[in-house]
Amino acid sequence: MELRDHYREFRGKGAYLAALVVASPDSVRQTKQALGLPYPVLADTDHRVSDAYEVYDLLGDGYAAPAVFVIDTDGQILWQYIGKDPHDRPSAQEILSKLP
Amino acid sequence: MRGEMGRQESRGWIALLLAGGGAAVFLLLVVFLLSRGGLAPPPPPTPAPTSPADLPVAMVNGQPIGVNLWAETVLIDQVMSGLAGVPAPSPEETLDQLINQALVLQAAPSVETPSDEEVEAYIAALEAGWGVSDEQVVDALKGVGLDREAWKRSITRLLTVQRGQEALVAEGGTIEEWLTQERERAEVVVYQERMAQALAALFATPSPSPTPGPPPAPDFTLKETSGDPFTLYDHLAEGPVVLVFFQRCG
Repeated sequence: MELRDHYREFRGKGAYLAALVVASPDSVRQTKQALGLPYPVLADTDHRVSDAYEVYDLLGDGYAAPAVFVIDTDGQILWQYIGKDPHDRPSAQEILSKLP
Repeated sequence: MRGEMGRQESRGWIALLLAGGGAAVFLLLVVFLLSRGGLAPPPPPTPAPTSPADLPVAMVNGQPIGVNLWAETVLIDQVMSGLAGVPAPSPEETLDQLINQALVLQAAPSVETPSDEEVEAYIAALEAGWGVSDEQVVDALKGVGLDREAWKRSITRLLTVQRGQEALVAEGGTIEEWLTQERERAEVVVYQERMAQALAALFATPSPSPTPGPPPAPDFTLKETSGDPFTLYDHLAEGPVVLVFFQRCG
């Protein structure tokens, strides 16, 4: 969990980090505890939010594609990265560099 | 002296009575005017994107077809024909259809309007037949300054007219025959000049398009594992937010 290890740098830039998973609240709670994730992990059980961000089922597996959205305080999406396979994720450094 | 006082008193009383009577007459007048809608302005006509005043473009047996209804139907006909991939009717043809609809509704005034479910089912069937999604329809309507409600109104009228037609030909004949007869008999006046003016206004006005630029991030509220709600825009008020979608837990 690379993001976990860089979480303080995100907070240092005044940014919040939140993770979303299309899963039940129970499995999200277990994962958050097991991995000791310091940021909120939100259960998007009915994939409403994944749909709104157009990442749901992009890989045809009934889950959200791995994706990152950097959102400015006025709600503008400054940068987004949508993975083309389950392991296609940007590095924490790359995301940090996109923060205002 | 006494007599004079009495006269003054009585004059005062009469004056009071007169004043009171005047007030009563005034009140009656106000009530009368209000009941006739004389003082209160009439409720404004249904707002339409093109014309502020809903003047008639045609009269059918003394019943007006307002310019707003006609203009809205012209735009809807264009949008729906585009989605269906068929040539759109001309504005004159659309008015002709509205006149026919008015005749049917006048002849069959007791038909029930369809329920919301029936209208939605009809819309779903249309969309399925055209192979378009509801979002595509809404976008297309937005392109001409209309919303889904306008289309629903139009479909509701269409279904009501269909019921009226069924009732009218229940005893035989076709609706085309009935309409041909009825058009000969009916008193139909079309205000060509007003149509031309409204058409010019309709197609001169640039369609309202939202300012370009990427749309803002959709807001949402989900529960954190602690049970506390997490609302995106609450956090954006304090700083930028990085949303990370994980494919799966673990």
